[in-house]
Amino acid sequence: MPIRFFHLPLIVCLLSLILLAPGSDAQIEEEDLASATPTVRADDDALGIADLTQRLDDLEAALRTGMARGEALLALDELVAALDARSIDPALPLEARALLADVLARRAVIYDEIGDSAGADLDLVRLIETSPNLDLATLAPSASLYERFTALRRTRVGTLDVTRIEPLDMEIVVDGWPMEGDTITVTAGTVRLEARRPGYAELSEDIEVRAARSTARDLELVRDAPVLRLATRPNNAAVYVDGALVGSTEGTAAPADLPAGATARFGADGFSSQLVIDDIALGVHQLEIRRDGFRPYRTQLFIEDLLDYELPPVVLQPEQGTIVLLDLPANARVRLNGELIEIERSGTRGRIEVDPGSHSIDVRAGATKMWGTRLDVADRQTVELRVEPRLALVLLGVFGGDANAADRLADDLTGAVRATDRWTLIDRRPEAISLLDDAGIDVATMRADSPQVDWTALQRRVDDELPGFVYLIALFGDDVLARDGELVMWTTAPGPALPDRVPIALDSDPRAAVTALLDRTPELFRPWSGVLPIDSDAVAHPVIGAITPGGPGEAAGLVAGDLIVAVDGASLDRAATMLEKLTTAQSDETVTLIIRTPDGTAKEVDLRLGRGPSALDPTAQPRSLAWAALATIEERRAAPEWLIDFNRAVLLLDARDPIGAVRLLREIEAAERSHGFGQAAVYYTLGRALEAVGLEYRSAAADAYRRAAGIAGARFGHHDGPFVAPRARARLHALGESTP
Amino acid sequence: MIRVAVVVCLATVLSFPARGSEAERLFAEATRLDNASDLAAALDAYRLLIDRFAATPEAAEALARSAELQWARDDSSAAERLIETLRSRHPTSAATARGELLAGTMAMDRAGSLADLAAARTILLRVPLGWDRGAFPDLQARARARVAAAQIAFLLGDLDTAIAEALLVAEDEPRGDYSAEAELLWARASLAANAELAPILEVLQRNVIENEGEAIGREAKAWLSLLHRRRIGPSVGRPWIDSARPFAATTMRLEEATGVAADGDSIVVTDGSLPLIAILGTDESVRVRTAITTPRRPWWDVDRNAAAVGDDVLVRPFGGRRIGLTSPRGRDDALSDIEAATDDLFGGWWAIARRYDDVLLRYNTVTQPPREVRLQDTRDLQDVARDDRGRLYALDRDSQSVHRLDADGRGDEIVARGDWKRAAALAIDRLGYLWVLDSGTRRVEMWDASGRLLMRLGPNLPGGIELRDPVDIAVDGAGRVYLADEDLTHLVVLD
Repeated sequence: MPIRFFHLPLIVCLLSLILLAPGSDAQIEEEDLASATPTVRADDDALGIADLTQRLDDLEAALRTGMARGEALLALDELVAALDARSIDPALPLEARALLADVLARRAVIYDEIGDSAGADLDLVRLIETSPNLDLATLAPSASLYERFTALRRTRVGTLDVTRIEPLDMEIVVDGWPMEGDTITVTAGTVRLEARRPGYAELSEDIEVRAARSTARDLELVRDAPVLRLATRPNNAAVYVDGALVGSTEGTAAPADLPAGATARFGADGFSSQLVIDDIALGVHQLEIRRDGFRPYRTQLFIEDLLDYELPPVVLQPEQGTIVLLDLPANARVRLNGELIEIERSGTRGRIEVDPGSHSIDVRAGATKMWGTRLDVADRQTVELRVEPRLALVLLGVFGGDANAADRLADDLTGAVRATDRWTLIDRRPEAISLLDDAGIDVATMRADSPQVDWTALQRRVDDELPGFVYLIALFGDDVLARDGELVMWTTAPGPALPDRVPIALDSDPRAAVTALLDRTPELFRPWSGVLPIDSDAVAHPVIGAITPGGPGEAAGLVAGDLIVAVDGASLDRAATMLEKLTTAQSDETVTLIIRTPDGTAKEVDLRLGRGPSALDPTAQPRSLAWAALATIEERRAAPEWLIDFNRAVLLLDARDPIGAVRLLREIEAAERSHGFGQAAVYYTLGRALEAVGLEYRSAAADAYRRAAGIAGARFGHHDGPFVAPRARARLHALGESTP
Repeated sequence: MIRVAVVVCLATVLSFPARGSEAERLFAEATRLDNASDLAAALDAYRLLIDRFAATPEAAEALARSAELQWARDDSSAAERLIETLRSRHPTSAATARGELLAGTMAMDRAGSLADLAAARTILLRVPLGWDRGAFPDLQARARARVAAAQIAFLLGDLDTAIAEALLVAEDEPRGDYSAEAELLWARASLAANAELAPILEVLQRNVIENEGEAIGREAKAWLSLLHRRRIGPSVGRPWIDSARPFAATTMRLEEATGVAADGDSIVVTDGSLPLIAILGTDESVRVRTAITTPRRPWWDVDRNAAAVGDDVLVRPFGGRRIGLTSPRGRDDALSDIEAATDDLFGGWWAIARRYDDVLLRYNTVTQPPREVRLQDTRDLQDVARDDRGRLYALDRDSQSVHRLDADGRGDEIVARGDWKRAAALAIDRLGYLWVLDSGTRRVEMWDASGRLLMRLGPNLPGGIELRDPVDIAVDGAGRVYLADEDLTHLVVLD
């Protein structure tokens, strides 16, 4: 099948094409048709033309710098010898013939310069026969040489004039030389005139041209076939007509060769050169264009006349499915198959175009929450997924002798996570194998009392490669049927890389145990009574040991020494019961106390509890879960920033990261409460953290303690908590500093 | 002998993983023998390990454990040699910290003076100085050494230091059984330093809850009760003594009570007619009783054993030995007519005898003649008592004064001067209040530590009890006051 590239203006044929393929952009419009640039390709390397051309250029340069003529002639002889046999063959590429002409011209000039007129004349003759159009003047020949050249030309060349050219964009070749314009100079004698154009019957005939004369010839080709032209983006697409391969789109089109309308619509980049199909029969045909990874382009062609048909550039659509993420948080970062991607968003909807196949999607919302799934997407399939970010619990590994226990644990974790509705479990066991190997984590190291593991480095790696919020490694006993084990848990940075080891019994109800573990929801606020009940065996009921000035107890009229006989109708005999009641009450709840005053009077008092901030007890729960709780509280904005940061600092300090704690504490500005939990606790904790950093910070620690000690009545942990000032004074004394 | 609560891991069940090396296997075997209480065999195994694998961590552990065992066998010389070996071979091992703790504990045990205690404290402080939290975050020996050092500071009267060190243990060390002990010490020292009450109450009450059912929890509750009785109640108008009632009237009928003493939650009473000595609970139950010859005043010694004075002996009737005291004249002259006695912090005794009633007799050891400690203007000493910090209090009938000495028997100062007809007995409660029994007026008086009379009560007490011939007075840890009266068939408790 002939496939050619046109270099003449195309005849525009506007015929209707019924486009059947859905989504097809193929329409034929006048402005889409454009001219093409002629291109002649030659296998330069095979002929050595490029090398020979370079040698001639080098020779020209050497001549300009004084190369000896004799030496130049030898070089030119070699070039002529290389080209000689081929130069007379009209089928040879034009470059070879043009180069031979150039070589002969230069050699003729040199012969003339050294006085070898005969040699010069011989080369002039051959030169004219090889390239009748060449003009020797560009080589600055001597006047006599040029005169001889002109004379020789007069006797050896004529011109061929072509008239009535139809169609205008046909390709005309005379003795192998392309004809540009309607006149060409040729060697006198019989010349071969060829004319061709897709869709037309090719013409070839010999014409006699006489020297110094002009010969005229009409050229009118006969239309014998329709022509279809098309280009694709990307190239290398296979083109089928009625199921038969008719070619493939090659090369790259210059922007100018593309229809202006198409480039405006699709851009000019990436289109192939035009593929010309000229042996298509009249009638209705099925056109299909295929390329791997792209959806096939199909359309129906109605070829009704012997005309040129051109499809607008065909933009092949890649095969893809669509994942639509619903309820996507504003701060979500989405990873597709592990790679962070920019996502096309519209409100809370996110859209991802993906290749058909299996994909993993991870969504990270803020610093703490994740959501992830794995799914298969087919071409043109749209899958909607509702994003429900939860705290991510990433299971990295399970060690132990009981293989079944590993699966059961995974099930239990999944069930527990589902029950809490606060977590999402991401099972990364396969991906974590090499990572844990690198960290030196195996059964033996994990069973050691103090595993020699660089947890900080491990945390850094998992944060980077398998991100989550809490990382989990399960460790079972040696037994084939494990009965108990441990969950080793730690949190993502900037949390402490110091794992908690939580024992877990497998022979009772591990799912319930894990659920209870994960479902803890500590609050950062608690009721505040301003009452310190104490036990005394001098009386049958708890006695008020102290009242916080300005607190709810004082507001209710309670005083130290009052006996608390009953709370909400329940008799009291222990302060612990009273404190438990106060701790579990709702903030702002009113509890009714029966009081007996020191003078023996009994009375009923309504104690309206206040509400105050509180600190987590880092020893009461795995640190990682405390971090998770803080993250949840922060997300819900259920506590002021200072309180969350304070708790984080306490956790860091507990996890032996005093520098991290200092960083946080330095920034905290809490209420400067004289009675209750506030800035004094921050100062005090800062002092402890600074001391833990090193001896060089003793002075700074003392300064912090001094500030804490200066806030009389301030509490630690919560408004009813331990007093700060006595501790701060003790710390100052321990540092050898004077106390305020 | 000081028996502050320094526990040296004797009961620790050691467990090391069997990791395969010969030293490890040997250590595992020694530990097994140790845990099985086959101490001689365990010591042999430890010694073999120390000799054959001297440079291993197991050898360091073996040295430390051997030293602890030797000390438990009262061979302190052997223990010291092992500790010295530890120091030289394993200067930075955690086991050596245990060795230093043991060295400090032994120094406390041997202390004969406050200066000796200060020296023991210096040894103990090597542990926190040499094994800091950064490198040894979970070192129990450091926490224990700090608690012991804080206790010594408390005894030395350096209250601020005691408070600071107790706090460091409570807050900085990993939680352990010493944590509550440290907090309690913090509270005691803070009270002694007259610190603000509310923070102390908070700490004590928290310990009551966190250690419910344990001795430390009961101790904390006793302190709260004491503070309620002495500070909180009176501050809002509650009388110092609200009631008086017979104590153990139905469980312990007395014929001729001669003395009473009280500890945190136990009362010991002596009866010269029955004759006997008995220990009662605060719930009035009789815990134990035994016959004793001519019993006089009892007391609780520093090891919390009940002790009593007989005519010429000191008796630890429940598991102790009878101690005959020599007179100042020499070994051949036994002391008779012992009126009152108490032990001191250093394993010695203080006694008052009828023949030498103008001086206090101090016995460093009971086999040597005592040192006579003469107080200013005392001619008829009647009673001697010791407070929590080891300070001695002596009641002189003639000068009608109470004298206080430091634990070394120095620094005589008069802390109360009364108008007593026949002062008979003295008691000190844990907050430092003085209780004086005047048998002449059959009254009880309460004085504060600065010599101010706060209360006088008797002979008719609230509740209709009349004192007839009161002979002794005691205060328990919770602040209840007990009176022994020769003419009453029961003790009287004032509350």
